[in-house]
Amino acid sequence: MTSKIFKLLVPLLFISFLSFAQQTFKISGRVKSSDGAIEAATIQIVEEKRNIMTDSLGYYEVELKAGSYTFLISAVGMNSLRKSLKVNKNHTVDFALEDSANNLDEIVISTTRDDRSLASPQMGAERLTMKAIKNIPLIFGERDVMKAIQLLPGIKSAGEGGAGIYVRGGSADQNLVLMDDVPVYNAAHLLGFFSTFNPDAVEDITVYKTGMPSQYGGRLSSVLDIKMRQGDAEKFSASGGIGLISSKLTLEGPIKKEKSSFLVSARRTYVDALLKLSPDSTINQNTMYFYDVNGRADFQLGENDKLTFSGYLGSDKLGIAKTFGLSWGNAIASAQWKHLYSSKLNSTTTASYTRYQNKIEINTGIDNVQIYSQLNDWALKHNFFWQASDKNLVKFGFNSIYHKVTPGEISSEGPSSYNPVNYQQRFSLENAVFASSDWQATEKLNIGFGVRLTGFSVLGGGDFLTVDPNGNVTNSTYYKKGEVVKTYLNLEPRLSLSYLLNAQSSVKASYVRNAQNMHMISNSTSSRPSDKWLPSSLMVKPEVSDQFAVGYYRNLFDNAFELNVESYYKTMDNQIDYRDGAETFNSDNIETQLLYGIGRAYGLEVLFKKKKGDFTGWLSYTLSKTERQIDGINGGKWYNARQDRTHEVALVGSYQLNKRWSLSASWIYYTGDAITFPTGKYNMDGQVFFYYTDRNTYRMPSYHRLDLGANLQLKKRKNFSSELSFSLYNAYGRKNAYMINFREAENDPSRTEVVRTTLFQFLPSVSYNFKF
Amino acid sequence: MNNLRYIFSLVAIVVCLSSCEDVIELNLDTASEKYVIEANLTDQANGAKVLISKTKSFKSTNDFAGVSGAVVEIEDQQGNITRMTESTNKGVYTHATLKGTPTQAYKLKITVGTEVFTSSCVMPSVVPLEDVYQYELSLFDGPRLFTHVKYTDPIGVKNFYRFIEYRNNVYTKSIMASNDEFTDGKQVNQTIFPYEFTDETKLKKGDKIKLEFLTIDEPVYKYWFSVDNGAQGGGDSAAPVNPVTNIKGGAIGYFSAHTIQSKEYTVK
Repeated sequence: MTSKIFKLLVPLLFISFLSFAQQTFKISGRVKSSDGAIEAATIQIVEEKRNIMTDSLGYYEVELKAGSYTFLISAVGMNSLRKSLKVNKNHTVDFALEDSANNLDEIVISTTRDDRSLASPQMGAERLTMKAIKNIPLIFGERDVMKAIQLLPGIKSAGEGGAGIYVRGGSADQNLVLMDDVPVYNAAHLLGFFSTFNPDAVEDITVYKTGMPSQYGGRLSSVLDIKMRQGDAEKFSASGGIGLISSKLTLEGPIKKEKSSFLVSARRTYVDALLKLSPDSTINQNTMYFYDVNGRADFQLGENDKLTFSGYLGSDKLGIAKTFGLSWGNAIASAQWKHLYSSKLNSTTTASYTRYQNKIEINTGIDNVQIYSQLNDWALKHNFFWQASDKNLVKFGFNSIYHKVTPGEISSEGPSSYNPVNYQQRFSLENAVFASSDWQATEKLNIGFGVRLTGFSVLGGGDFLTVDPNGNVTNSTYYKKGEVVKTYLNLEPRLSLSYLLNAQSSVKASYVRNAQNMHMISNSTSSRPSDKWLPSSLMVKPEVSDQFAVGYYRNLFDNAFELNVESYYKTMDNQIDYRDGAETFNSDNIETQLLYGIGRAYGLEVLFKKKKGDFTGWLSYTLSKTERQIDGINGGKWYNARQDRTHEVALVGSYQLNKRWSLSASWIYYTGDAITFPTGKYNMDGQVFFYYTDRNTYRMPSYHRLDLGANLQLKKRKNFSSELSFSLYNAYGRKNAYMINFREAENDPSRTEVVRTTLFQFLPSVSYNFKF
Repeated sequence: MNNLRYIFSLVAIVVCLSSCEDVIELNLDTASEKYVIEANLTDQANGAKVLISKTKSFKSTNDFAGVSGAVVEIEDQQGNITRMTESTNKGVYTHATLKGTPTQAYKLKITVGTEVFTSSCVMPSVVPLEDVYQYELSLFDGPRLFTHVKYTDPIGVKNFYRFIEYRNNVYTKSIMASNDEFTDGKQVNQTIFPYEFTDETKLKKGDKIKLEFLTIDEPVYKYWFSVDNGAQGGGDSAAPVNPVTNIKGGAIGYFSAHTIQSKEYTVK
């Protein structure tokens, strides 16, 4: 990508005056890059062994006694900056960091900050920037953040080529996916093969597997905080890419130079084109594509205020001839205001709207039917960020979301076999208040504690059911619109500690509780757009998880290497699954089709990274166990959850061959998913039926795959740069099982056979990316 | 929503465009044997038939020996018990004159060895079968002919149906069951989907099609509906389970008292 120009925005001016012993002075200022302010940059005052962090507008403040100090400023994806300062009066000092992509010696792959990661009580967090993801070969050549994070320990892919993830034994709906602080309900395109995140519009992703800061809540297993890019406030530019199955274009630039900027990015896939390659002439009647558009505008209003508007619109369309049509998509709009009350206190206020909808059309000529469902969220979030002292950072605020779920509407045109149906809409109000403190208790001990109180109010109108354990309705009560049916309160304490053993290593421990009130239950292996979100109700209780984790962290060889070892134990309450043979379409009595139980997960995760040099990369290993126990499933005995994979290994490397070529490779291995296979067969209805006993006692064959990638920087001209990216997915053509089915043998009906379906073997891709 | 389920299997086919299939070996355990009961009682003479067999290991051949020596009894609402007789085919129990009456409840009792299995079922009312005809639809694999079934669902009551298609006297193995959740009181044109979307299953000119139209009760519908959960060995169910049985005592299978009508046509 293009180099950013190093800019020293404010020259550092120091005048030596008299120095007063014991007197303290206030040093404050901002940390910036050529793109703007840097949030959460770390400033280490080396002599004091003290770390402070910039706030969301890039401001910092520290009180120091008179003297000479070394400031070491570091931030994600940036080269660290070392500055000597003489303190003898109150100063305003700004720092400008340089983009590390400029420097071939230090391509940042994973970006945990050099030293701060050791001292920070935060654990279970990883951050990947788009620059890092560029150096990982990915399927279809698409630099998808949701797929890149699957190479980190504890994060498992939900299926071949898919964007869905399982984090530390959680299910796919238990991840809070945030696009600039706004939750995204279905983060998948094309049945999961793409995520909703256009790589050209993404700045970075931070994943929290545990120890979620208390401003996050609402999902059990993880937070995926995805920040979108801000437009360049200095100059106009256009960038884009042309690939085999998708193309992208991004425009950005200043609205008013250095004050405001915009960014618009659009992406369209043309999988239909692949369908047309099919030898079957009838297939090209089908449509299959998606598009998405991201837009963002940023306005710096004076020194103390910043306003950001952002929007997302995406839709998938799938059509089978003219007979069936399926479309679904997300629309998100948000406005965010950052305000600086003082150098010690600032706030971020976000108002947002989210819509996820899904429409099915059936046009047989006899029946013309539409099935429609929708989910709407209106949300307000207000966060304060308060530097209470230079050793104590306090965050607090509240978050309110009004949910409206329209589970299903059937309408038809003309004469039809179908009656119109409107399932009851569901309304709920989710409120949370939270507070946390990151406190440097001693030079070596850092403590983070926080608490989040969530109240989820189930609102009328409509009929609310109570259901007995056998699935029979015992009572149905009508509630008026707006009437509170039930309020669930959950107190979620969060605690984390870190202790520096020495300059190179630390140990950490944490406990976190999470509660979830929006649930999605799925009984299919692929992510389906029709998977429905269900708010808590009289019968569906909030899911609650408790996680304990400990870890050891060590930097080696002058921070060139890093070793992280974490272990966790997690319990989950009020887990939901369908009854055997459940009919899931009718939302009015969905509670009669559900079963409830508990879950547990534990494991050990190791991450070893090489962060510096021409060769960078990491090795991740996960050893884990994930189980569920649900009355009515598997005779009430504990069983392996589908995502229970004992071992999981990822090896990722990238090598900067020269100024033009960079090469990358990744290899992954994991134990096959737990699965139910037949333990017998019988004759029924004149055909062979398969007989099943215990759930998930078998394993899919183990999965492994090598991916290769190469980036070629083409000749740079003034204001124009371009590159070619090549990738080869599944380079040695391993036949990984996507599905395993059983059937009568094709050439000998007296026998049964096992059929493996493999998706992608040797999937090459090439894409051309440009910027001017 | 029957059609809906089929759309998703079609979508899976689209996804599998670049996929390939091959036969592999798996080491599967064998669970202890279970009795398998397939019990039918219809409103027609010669329609009463009970098949009893056992489960086998996955690796064994597909010949399923019947279980003889069972005492099979069907009891009507008035308490009349009819014992069925084992035919010359092992494990097949029939009765020449026993037939059911719509709206009446029936009980099944099977004693085999030391085990006793019981079930009960209500034979629903007859819903007249109006028409069976061919109709072309363009789906994933291009235009193809589908058998369609026309009937008018009685309004205000729950109804459940099953459709059995024979092509040139061979059962197509496509298991189709539906309810009237979305079609209460409507004239319904039900599409009969093939077992799989291959060239061989395409209806061709001259094919003789026979369609049987059954009215069934809710537990029996539940059984056929849940066959989709992996009993036929395919699909993408995350956790395959046995169909939900209405037989008590630990056997697998079903007891269905249903009405049956049929119509034939020749594909043009």
